[in-house]
Amino acid sequence: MLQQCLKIFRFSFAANTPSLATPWSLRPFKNEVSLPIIRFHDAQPTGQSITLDQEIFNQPIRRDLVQRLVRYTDLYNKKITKATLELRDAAASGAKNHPQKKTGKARQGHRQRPGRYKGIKAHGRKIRSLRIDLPRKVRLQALKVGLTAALIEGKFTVIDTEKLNEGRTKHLVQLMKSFQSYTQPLLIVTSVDPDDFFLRASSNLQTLETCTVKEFNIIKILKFKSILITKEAVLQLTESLKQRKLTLLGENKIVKKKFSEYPIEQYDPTKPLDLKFKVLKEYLEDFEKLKQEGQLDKFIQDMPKTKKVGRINTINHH
Amino acid sequence: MFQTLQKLRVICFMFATTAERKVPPLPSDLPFTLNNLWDNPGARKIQKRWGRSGTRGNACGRGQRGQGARSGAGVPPKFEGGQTPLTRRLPKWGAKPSLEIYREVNICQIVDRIKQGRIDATQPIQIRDMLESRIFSKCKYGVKLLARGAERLAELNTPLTIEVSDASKTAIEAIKNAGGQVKVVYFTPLLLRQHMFPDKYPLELRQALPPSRAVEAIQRTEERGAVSNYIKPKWVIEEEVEKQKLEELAKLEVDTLKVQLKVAETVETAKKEKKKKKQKQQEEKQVSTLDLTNFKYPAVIEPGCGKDKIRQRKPVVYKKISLNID
Repeated sequence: MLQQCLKIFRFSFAANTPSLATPWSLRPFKNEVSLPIIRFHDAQPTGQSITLDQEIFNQPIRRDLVQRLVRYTDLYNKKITKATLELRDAAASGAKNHPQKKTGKARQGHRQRPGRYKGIKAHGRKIRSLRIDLPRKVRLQALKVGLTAALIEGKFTVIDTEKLNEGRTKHLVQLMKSFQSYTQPLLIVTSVDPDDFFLRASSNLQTLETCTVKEFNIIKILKFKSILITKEAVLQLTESLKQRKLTLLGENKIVKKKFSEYPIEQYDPTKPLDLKFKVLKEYLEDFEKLKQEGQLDKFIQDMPKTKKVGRINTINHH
Repeated sequence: MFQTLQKLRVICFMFATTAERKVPPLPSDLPFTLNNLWDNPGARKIQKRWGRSGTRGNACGRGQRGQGARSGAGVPPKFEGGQTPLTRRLPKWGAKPSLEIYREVNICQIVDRIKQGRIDATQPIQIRDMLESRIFSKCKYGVKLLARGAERLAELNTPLTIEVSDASKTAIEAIKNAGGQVKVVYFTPLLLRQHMFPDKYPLELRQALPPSRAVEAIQRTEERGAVSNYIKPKWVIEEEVEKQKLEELAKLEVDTLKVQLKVAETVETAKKEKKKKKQKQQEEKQVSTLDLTNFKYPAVIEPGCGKDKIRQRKPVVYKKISLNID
């Protein structure tokens, strides 16, 4: 009886509207979702829209996978840095205080043993990391689930660009007011190369955070109630998640060649030398200057003669 | 409708048993925030530890005093208190099979990856391609081809050529019926690693000459219908040369035998005809010259000899028993 009622209950939810209460076997959206693109300066829509990929933004909702990912990311950077002393680190020597027998005292081997006054702690804290393991496929799927849940709750708004003409915080604050999010914390997701003016203007604001596509975590998805994404970031996000799946399937492998197949450049005296390190470039400049001035032979004669081959003194141009 | 269903759900939960209440939670409408996340029930369990709770306290399951109650306690499992243990009472015997086993690959695994586009069916399929498409993640000694899913070769359009180190009979037959071929290649572990990871070997290694045990295994697959490509030792080459000679001789012998058989057949038929003629002539002669009124052959020696012997049963004689009645 109970299970029959539960079946009807679930089916009624999943049929018509997208909600967070869909079962694991169904997708929340029936068709593809397309969001309109909004201009950053006016907060008004342009005539364009962008379609979101179904394999990333339309996955069945699983709250348990998201909980596991959140726990994984929380513990990824955590570690216990303090440790208690052990017997070898204690301030006492390891000698026996008094012999085993023929004294009226109890037998003991170490003066600062645990259980005694001024003794060390037994089985205390140790330096260790709190990282846990999670399969890579679970991590990917949980990210996708978080993105669909954010879509259902209506957190996303797509922006054309984040570029600014001036790097001033005043202008940014006025723009945020038009988005009605100056009081609540807000997140802006940009592409891999963000604008310099935008970074300068947004660095001193407390209620605004910026991040790139690579730093877009599950915790940031769940923490912020309104998220602004640029059009380039959406495209880069879909590509990165697709490539992540292909690497799990074993494709997108970097083809390495044999050592003999890499070409070796031969020396052309006509071309100028391209050196990698700065020190070598300075040596080259000194050599060419001496050649032009005609003081090469003098420099070689004035070099200090030592049995061991040591470093050559550089020239002081002053 | 919605409110009646909600009431029914509550009522059913009240009258449910504990087993029914352990059903996983329903999908809920709570928002996805950091304080509204939970894992499925039964995913994590609190660990039982010694020294906590009444039954696991005090001595913590170790008893009172003795060697077993000390830290780092216990004796090795083969120790029997000083008596010679069982592992030393009994003699050693036997041998163990080798751990250098081929990795098993089925036909259905290859067909799946061709349909996904991860393996190119126009070119010969090598062990390197199987690793890049992740049929397996590690292979040290070689690959054996098996025939699970051989019916699905009909879904493909192109015939396959596969290079492996061993194959079964049904797999070879299935690939041959589809128009393909199976090749046998010999790899040592080092050469296999060069085949799979060529960027780690700047110098090419030379091919290996297999030992006698491996050659016999390759010859067994050739009898099943595969084609081989490996460096052959001397004794194999000599065997093949001898085989060819014997086959040629057998062909010649077979040809000569056929001719001889034909000749013999004709000779026999001619002889039979001659015999029949002779018998007829002899019968005619015998009938014409001799008096055959009282002629019997063989002559009668006695009445009652041979087949015409009169046979009589011996009479049954019963024993005489004397009963002394006194």
